[in-house]
This record gives sequence, C-alpha cells and structure tokens, in this order.
Amino acid sequence: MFFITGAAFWAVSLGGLVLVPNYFQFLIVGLMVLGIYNTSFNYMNVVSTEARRGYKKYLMALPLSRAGLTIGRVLAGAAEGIVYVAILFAFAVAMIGFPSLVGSLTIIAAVIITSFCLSSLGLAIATHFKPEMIDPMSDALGIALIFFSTLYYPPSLMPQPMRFVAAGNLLSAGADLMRAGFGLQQVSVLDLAVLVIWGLAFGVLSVRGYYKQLNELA
Amino acid sequence: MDGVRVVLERDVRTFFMNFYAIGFRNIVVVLDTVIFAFILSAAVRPGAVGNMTYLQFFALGSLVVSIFWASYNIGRDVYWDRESGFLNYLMSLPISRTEIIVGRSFGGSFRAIMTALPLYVLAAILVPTTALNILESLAVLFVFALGLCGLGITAALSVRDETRARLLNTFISLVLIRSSTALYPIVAMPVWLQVGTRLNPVTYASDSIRSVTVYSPQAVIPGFDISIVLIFAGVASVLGSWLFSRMIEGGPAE
Repeated sequence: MFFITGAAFWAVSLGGLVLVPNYFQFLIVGLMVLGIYNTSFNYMNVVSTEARRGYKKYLMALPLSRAGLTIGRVLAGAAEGIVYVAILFAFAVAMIGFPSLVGSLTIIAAVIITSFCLSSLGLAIATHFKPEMIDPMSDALGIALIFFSTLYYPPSLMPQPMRFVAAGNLLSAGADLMRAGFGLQQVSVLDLAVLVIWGLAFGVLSVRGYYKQLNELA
Repeated sequence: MDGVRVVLERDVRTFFMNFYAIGFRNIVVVLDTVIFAFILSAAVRPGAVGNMTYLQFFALGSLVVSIFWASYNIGRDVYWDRESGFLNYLMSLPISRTEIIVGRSFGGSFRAIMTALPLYVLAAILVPTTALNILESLAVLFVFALGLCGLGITAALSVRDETRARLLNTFISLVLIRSSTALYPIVAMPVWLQVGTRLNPVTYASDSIRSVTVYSPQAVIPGFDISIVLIFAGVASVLGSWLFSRMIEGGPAE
C-alpha cells in the first residue's frame, strides 16, 4: 500500500514538479529499495522478540545445529526482502517497462545482495546492542541510510560532502544498480563493490553475533 | 466541563508517554524538510509553487502532515479503549457521554498542536511571517485537527476486526496525504489526480496554512479554503461523535 500510493500519487506528482529527466522512474526504483529496507532491515525485530520471549531456547532444543540456525536466520531476513520486492518489481515493470535479460539479472542480483546486506545489518544490531538500545540505534542508522542516499534524489542535486557519503551507502548502491538494470543509467562496478563489501562486513557481524547469543544460552 | 478536562488531560498525558515515537517522527519531518525539500528545491520548475521556494512550501505542508498523524490516530486509541475495556471504566465515572466525546476530540487536537509546535518553529524560521499570522494559522490547524479526530474515530469504529481497522486507517491516511497539496502543488499532478485533490480536505488545510502564514493586508483572504476546513471539521466531528455515542450506548459486543 505504501509503494502503490507512493508510486501513484507521490512519485507521479514529484515527477511533474522536478526538472530531472525520468524522475518518476528514478523514484519508483527508490521506493522499491525502500521496500527492501522496510522488510529486511526490520527483520531484527524478529530476532529481538525471539530473545525477549525465550523462543531461542526452544530453537536450541530442536535437532538443528547452531551454525544452521545462524545461517538460516541471516538468510531468512534476506529472503523476506526478496519475496516482498518481487511484488513491487511487477508494479515497477508496469510503470517503467520491461528490462532486458541482462538488466533483469542485474536487478535480481542487486535485490538479493541489498536484502542480504540490510538483514545482516539488522541482525548485527539486534545481537550486538542491549535491547533498550536497539530501537534508537536502528532508527538513527535508518535515517542516515535513507536521507544520505540516492533513493529520492540523484547525486547531481546533492552538495559535494553528501555525494561522497551517498557513494558509499549500500542503499544508493542497490538503487543505482537497479536503475542500471532498468536502463535508466549505466552500471557502475563501484556500486557492486560497495554492496559486496558491506554484505561481507555485516554478514560476518550478524553471524558472529547470533552464534554468540546461541552459545550463551547453551 | 470537569469531565472534558479529565478526558483531555488523560489523552495528552498518555500520548506523551511515548515521547520517543513523537520525537522520532518530528525528527524525520525536520530532516525531510532540511534535506529532502532543500535538495529538491534546486530542481523544481520555476513558478510551480507560486511566490515561495519549494523548501518553504514543503515546510508549511509538513505541518499539516504532522497534525494529521497526531490527531487522526485518536481513532486508534478509541478503538483500543473499546477493546481493552477502558471505555467501560470511563462510563462508570460521573462523566457524561457528551463530555467523553468532546474530551477525546479536544485531546486529539491539543496533542496534534503540541506535536507540531517544534516544527512550527522551523517553518517560522524558513517563512517570513508575523505573530498574528502564526496564531491564526494555529487556529486553522486546531480546527482541522478536530475534524481529523472525528474522521479517525469514524474510520476506527467502522470495523471490528483489528487487522481490517489498521489497514483501513493506513489506507485512508496514505491516500489523503499523498493526494493532497501538502507536499507538492496541484500543478505538478496529473489531471486525474487533480480531480481527487480538489475533494480532499487536506488540500484545503494545506492551502489555508500557506495563505494565512504569508498573509499581508494586500493579499486576498483565503476564505474559500478556510470555509472548506470549517465544513470538514463540522461534518467529521458530528459524524465521529454520533458513531462514538452509538458505540457507548450499545457497549462492546462480546
């Protein structure tokens, strides 16, 4: 509903207001990435609820290895974002047009890696901070990620310091790769590198944090 | 009037117990204004927002959006009061039904104004105005908030199922805000959207606030826009009050 009203009303109107070529299509992709963010990043709530309500102890009683549980948790968050954005992708195709085969593969890859990055980041926060600090920390990080990115505005409109921050922002990288998949801009290897680096870093942190929590319960 | 005061005080107190959520929402609105609107200002079509910059346009519109969220959600609170049995407790007190209804509406409006006051400071910095204009625009916002309380209560009490109530509220909120001139001018919208925008009370509230805030004796009084806001507030308040009183009369269904 957020995506549909955003596309049908917000993006259409801003597209008619702002003198940026293809701004409507630009915003549609930004909304898709926002959808991944809302789903994958907020997967941390599942983990923090699990810890608070004692479900982890139940999971530990099952015939599953801790490594399996850990990897499963990290991938589950990513999978949620991927499934959610599949629906948004269908709407985006209806509004922007079908991407080429290479473009589709680029978009799929960008969605998978971005989802993984965000869910890992969410898990890393949920497993490394005290429960009362999780919400403020995730909110602050979320604001920084969203506002200092190219979700809503192209780098050409940003002040120079902001462009520098946005270039290293995983949301920017994911959005720009998806825009390249739709043919709205060129593919940049830098975006792929940003996603891979952040994915590795947050992946390691999340696996380490969740595994440590399971060990503490054993 | 004591009953109204009791209900109003309770509404305002419980709202500000969740200070973190209110503060966070205000921070997001401020950032929307100083980052999002500031950046887009450089690329807005000349003349699209009249004599203002897009930053000023957005700052005033975001006040209306903030008021909307704070007052419309009184409906959710009323819904939960019914479900949790708090309404039964209120009915056991020596407070008339009318006082409960009036107290809830005023409570929603007061907390909306208090939520928006920090944002108004930002708007007043960005938009040259006078103290009289500020007071007049706060009055318009208060009346608009009363109407939104009525609308929120109507929407929340129209369905019994929690999931449906939440979906309905979210749908109405998103459609009303995004199809209005709160965040972008009507000239930027496609023709089909402009038709709906002209039927949207949030549009008239946004236009009223902008006109009143920058009003000068040489300008035209935005009488039409303010009239629509008053009519909306009257109709929505009456409808919400009637529905609420019917619910009180019938009591919660088992």
